[in-house]
Formats: sequence, structure tokens, C-alpha cells
Amino acid sequence: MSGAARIAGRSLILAALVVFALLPFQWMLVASLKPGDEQLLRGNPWWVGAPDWNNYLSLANPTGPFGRWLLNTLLVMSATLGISLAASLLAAFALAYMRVPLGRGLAVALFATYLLPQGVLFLPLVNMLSRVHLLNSPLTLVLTYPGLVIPFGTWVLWSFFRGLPRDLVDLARVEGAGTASLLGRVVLPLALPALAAITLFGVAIVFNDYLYAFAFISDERSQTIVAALGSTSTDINDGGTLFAGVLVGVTPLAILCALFADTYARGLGSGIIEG
Amino acid sequence: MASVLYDHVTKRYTSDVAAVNDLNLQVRDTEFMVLVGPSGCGKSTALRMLAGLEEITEGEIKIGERTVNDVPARERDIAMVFQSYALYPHMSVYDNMAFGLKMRGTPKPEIQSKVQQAAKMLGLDQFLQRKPRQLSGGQRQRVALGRAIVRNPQVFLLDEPLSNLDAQLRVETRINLQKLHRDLGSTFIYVTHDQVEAMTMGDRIAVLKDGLLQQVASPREIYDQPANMYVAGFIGSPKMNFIPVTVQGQTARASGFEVQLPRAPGIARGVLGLRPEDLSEDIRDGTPQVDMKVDVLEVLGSDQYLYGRVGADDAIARVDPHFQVFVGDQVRLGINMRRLHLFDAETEKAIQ
Repeated sequence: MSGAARIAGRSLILAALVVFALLPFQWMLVASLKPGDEQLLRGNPWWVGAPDWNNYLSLANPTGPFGRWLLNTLLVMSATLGISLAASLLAAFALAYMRVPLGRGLAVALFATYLLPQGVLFLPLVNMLSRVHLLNSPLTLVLTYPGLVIPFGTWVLWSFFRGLPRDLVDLARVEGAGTASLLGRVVLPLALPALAAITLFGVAIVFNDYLYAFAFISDERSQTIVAALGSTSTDINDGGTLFAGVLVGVTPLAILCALFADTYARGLGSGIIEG
Repeated sequence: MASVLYDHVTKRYTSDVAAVNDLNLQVRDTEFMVLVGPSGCGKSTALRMLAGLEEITEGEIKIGERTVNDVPARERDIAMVFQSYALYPHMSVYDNMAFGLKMRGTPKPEIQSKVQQAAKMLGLDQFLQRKPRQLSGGQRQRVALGRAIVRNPQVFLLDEPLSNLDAQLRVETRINLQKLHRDLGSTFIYVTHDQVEAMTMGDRIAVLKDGLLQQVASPREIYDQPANMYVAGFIGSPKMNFIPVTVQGQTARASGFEVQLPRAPGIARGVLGLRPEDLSEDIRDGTPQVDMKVDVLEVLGSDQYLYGRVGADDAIARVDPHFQVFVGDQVRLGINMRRLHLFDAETEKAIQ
């Protein structure tokens, strides 16, 4: 009896949390299916009688800016992830398995840079980027985002490697593996959960950043989704289309997070390899 | 196949403590050499220096005729089996076993036949496509061995390979390892803290303590002629009895008895060493006799051990299992004088 009651209680709490998490999506979905600013001005905000798909159609319009923003976002994201994963892996590998002078100090220093608030960095960054005439190009974001992801990634991988049984690396050496094989055939496959965690972190950085994306790029055609949708200068002025855009931009991320939450948590914990 | 030579080898992690201290050891070609000692005695460090996983602080290590101090691990042509087995969780049994050959650029058909052959030898042919996590402990251990075998290395290094197995499997594997050594005809260097493994498997045993080599000899010799009290106490179970004595001429006087030594040892204070089986109910003419007050009895079926006191000293005796004795009894036992050891109380070294 008490077992059943406990399960019921737990289910109730979980159900409440699920509703709480999904409510904003429902609200956005409803808004995206109403014409213009109807959601904000009148009617039932939780339900739509006759769905109006025009907002999505206008997003899909090939001459419209939305596709462009999506493309910019994907480019920035893949470049950020590519650079960050490669750099974190190499840095953590060197720190963990090679004799790096002051290695430990370097690792700690690297992590300390991660603690610097973004807001502190952005003025000097704008200044710097404007001097090298890079403002207004998505490239600025490709250059700055890895700076936010790499310290975290290196730290996660470094502690992950330190948790790996030393024997696995020693054995590879005895068996004849050079540094490249050790990295490619042994360490990389084992580090996949950690790399997945860093990927998710990187995706979240790209999707969550408004500050850099908005400050570095004012040219609408070069902006990412987040900056573009948030900017009042864009020509999406009616709420419905805005919500449709937000929903399309954010849903893949939400699904990704839901799918990989376990991997993420596992990747953050070190020493996950069992015999 | 090759011999191995440790020539004045020292390993220091910090400037004042030597994990391995001036080790001189010659391992013969095709020999089964066991390095034994308690944890922290330097046996694993000695092995890892040979493997190329630790740098050598001083001295020289040779494999065959080649000095390997500056040769990277992958070029030393040795194979190693770790206590943890170090199987790659993301690779199948086949890939784990083929790893070293792949690294060396061995042609695929050759890899395949070598892995098949080793798998057959170890009874793993059914499991080649499995992942390590789908195997039992004993099977994993055999995969680790198989990975070493396929490479046909000059020297096999085994670092406590049986420690993670249960008792029964350990005995089986011990026997299989000896067969394997014979079949392969290779040089084996085996590290363990278990004196039974050392005694049963080694052609010769090297006993280490605190980084210092205590004695190298065959199991028989180590048991019968231990070089010092440490070796005498470490090898053999139950432990050798140590009974302090004062010596005057040829007479050694303990708290509960005295014995006549064959010749005067020339020391004033000594320690008699007597294995439990040499203190028994077997009393013959002229056998020195002692009285033992029995505190604890252990009947093992084939043997019976008496734990008690002789005079003021603790002692263990092995008697016939049918010898009638009860706790609290005072029993009369005989000392096998031919097997009596005497150690110098100061240096703890054996006196011949």
C-alpha cells in the first residue's frame, strides 16, 4: 500500500514538473498558430480554435530572412563545436598524458577563465574585433564562442581522463601504440560520453547567447536566430511569426537535451568506465 | 624469448625514498621468475621499468643483449598482463586481442590466424565477437592473456594477473599459466604478493621488501634456506615460528627449552626459526622435546595445527590430524633439528 502511495505521489510531482516545463512551449505553439499579435492582445492564450499556419509559411518563404538566420546559426554552431571539441580533446590529452611543464597550473588557469562573466569580456572584445574589421560577420562568433566552450570542455575531459584507469593507456603503449593511435583508437572512443556532454554545452552556449550575437553583428543578414528574433529592427514585427521562429529555433535544442540528458550527466562524472 | 638483466637498477620518485633500490637480478631465457613481496615493496615498479612505463633513475635494464633504458615501451617487444586486465570496453574480444598486432602493421590474414589460434588455446573462440562487459571475470582474464600471447613477445610481464579471480578459479588459472609457460617456451616475469602463487609457479622467486631484493632462489631453496627472517616469515603458511634465544657456545636457550646447535654460531642473541611442520608429535631418539600449552586447534582434514605457547613464546605446530589433543592440554612435541634455522637477532640474517 505504502509503495503504491509513494509511486502515486512521485508520479504526481513528476507530472507537475512536466506540465511546468512544457507550458511555455504550449503557449508559444498557440501563439504561433494565431495571426498577428492576437495571442498578446485577446483570446484564450492556452488554446487555438482554428490554427493558422501562415506564420510558418512566411518563415519558410525562401526570400525571407529566416532561412538565412537558421543557416548562420548552424554554421556558427558547427564551427564552434568543431573547433572546441578538437581543441579541448587535444589540450586535455596533453594535460593528462604528456609531460606538460606547469600542466596542473595551466589546467586550473584555463578553468579560471571560464569563471569570467561574459559581460566583462564583451566591451574589450567589441573593441578588438572592430579594429580588425571583423564586426558584422558570423566569423566573430566563430572566434569568440570557442573561448567560452574550450575551458569547460578541457576541464571536463581532463577530469574524465584522470578518472580513466591508467592501465588502459599503459597497455596501449606496451602494445605498440604511438601518441596518434593512443588518441584516436583508445582515448577518443572512450571519451565519447564526455564529448557528447561538451557538444550539448556548446549548443546551449550558441543558442543562449544574445549578448555577443547582438553586439557583434548588427547587419541583419549575418545574424543568428537568437539575435535576429530578439532584435526589434528586423522585419518580423508581428507576434505570431516571431513565436513560430522561436519555436522552430528552440525545439531541436530541447529535444536534443531531453535525449542526451543522461549522457550529459554521465559525461560530467569522471571514471565512468567499468571493467 | 630473451633473458632480462637488472643491473644496479634504482627508481626514485622523490629524492629520499627509493621504490626500487639497487636491484641486481638476472632472469634467464625461458625462465618463470616471480617477484614477490608485500604491497609497496617495489615489485610492480621493477616490472613497469622493464615495460618502459616508468623511467629508470639509475642503473641499466637489458632485454637479451639490448639495453632498453631509452627504448620506448612500444619498441621493447614485451607483452604485459595487468591486474585490471585493461581490456578496452569499446572493442570486441577479437579487436582487443588484435590491437597490438594492428599497431605493428601486421597483415590482416596473419592477425586473424594468430588471434584464432590464441583464442582456441584459451577456450575463447566462442566469444571473439563479444564485448568485455559480456564476459565473466575468468574469461576477461584469459582475453588479457590472449592479447599477450598473439604478439609472441620476447618477455611476458604479468602484474598480479590472478588477484581479481575467486579462489577456485585462481587455482585453475595458476595451473593453466604453468602449462602456458611450458607450451610457449617464453620468459615470464610474474609479480604477486601471494606467496602460494610464488611457490607454485616460479622456477625461481625473487623476494623484495622496501625496494630491496632479499633473496633470489628456487622455491625449494627459498623455503628450506631462507636468507633472512623476512624471507623465512613471508614464505610458508602458517608462518615460521620465531623463538628468541640466548646463545652460549653451542647451546641455544629459549624461555621454554634449550637445544644443542651443531656448532657454535658466535653470536650472543639469536632467533630460532622453526616451521610448524618441524614442530610435531613425531619424537625420535635424541629429538629435543618441548612442552606446548595449546590455546587454539585448527583441524584441516589433512593436517592439524596447534596454536599455543612454548615457555613464554608463541608457537604453531603441525601434527597428525588424528593426534588426540584438546584446547588447554599440555602436549609434548619434538623439534626436527635438521630443519632448524638460526638467525642473528641483530641483523636478522640466517646463520648457516
